[in-house]
Amino acid sequence: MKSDESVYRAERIREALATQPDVGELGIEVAVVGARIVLRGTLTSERRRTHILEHVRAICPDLEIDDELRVETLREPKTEVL
Amino acid sequence: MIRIAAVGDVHVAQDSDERFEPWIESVHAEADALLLAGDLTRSGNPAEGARLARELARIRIPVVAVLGNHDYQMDGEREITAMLRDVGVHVLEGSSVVIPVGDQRLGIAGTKGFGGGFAGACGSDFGEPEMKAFIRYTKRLAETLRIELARLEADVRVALVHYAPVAETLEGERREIYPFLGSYLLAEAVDASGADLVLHGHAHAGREVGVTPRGIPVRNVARHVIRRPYKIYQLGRPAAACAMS
Repeated sequence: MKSDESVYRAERIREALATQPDVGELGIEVAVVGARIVLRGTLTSERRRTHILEHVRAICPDLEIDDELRVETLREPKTEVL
Repeated sequence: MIRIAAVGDVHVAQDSDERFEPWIESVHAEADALLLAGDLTRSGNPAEGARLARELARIRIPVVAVLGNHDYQMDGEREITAMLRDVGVHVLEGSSVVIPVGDQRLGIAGTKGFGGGFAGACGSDFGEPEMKAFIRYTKRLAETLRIELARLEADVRVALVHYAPVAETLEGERREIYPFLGSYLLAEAVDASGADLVLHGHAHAGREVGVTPRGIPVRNVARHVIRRPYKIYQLGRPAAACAMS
């Protein structure tokens, strides 16, 4: 079970990822469990993932990162007739 | 038929890989207009808007956009709007545009929209000033959408918003955040005035296909949902055949 403190910390980190101008990412789930931080979400490039992981390391150097972020590549355009 | 290319939540930033350039030729070949359903920038930084404007300036079909919440983050929404308009993008907010496509007219009414939730689990215009302001803002934007759709004289009418008008296209998102993802007031406005299609973004974990209570198709075109650079929707009647002598 999460302690209250880890819940608050996870929310502070999630908020930081949203509001930091060069991150601006609202779609990442953050959970702090003991000495680990779990990140889940879908990103559009490997470079973006690297940037976000670097940012998380910088703001919480004491936590080990469980990187469950997914990078999704775009498929070809498709047509739907309505 | 009118061919609409649509995508939302492109989140262009100065250092991002999100680019239109690789798709410019194909969108020219496949579509009559490109519609952008908000969250055009990552952080609402006007420098991001400038980069987006440089890319969109190269697109030779009409481009119509609404802004999203990300585009407001740094209070630069007016500057971003002006930069996009300078390169010919129709940026809609409580407004509309009619685009001739062959012998047909494509009408688009747009607003960013806002949250509040969906029938049975939504905020009310009640209580503290902040709560009333929240819901009244959504009501005001929905009303502009209703009015603009009603006055559109077009063969095909599209409502372009950022926030979701129905809960159906949010499935996959956590239910607790639905009130921050959209409002039934947007769907009510569309149903009141009628439309052929509603396009929205914002809900990255949602799903593409939905419908308003009166049966108008709703499509969540957030790029994370369609997983394509854009999706094409064909509407209207086939182009008139050439007279044969």
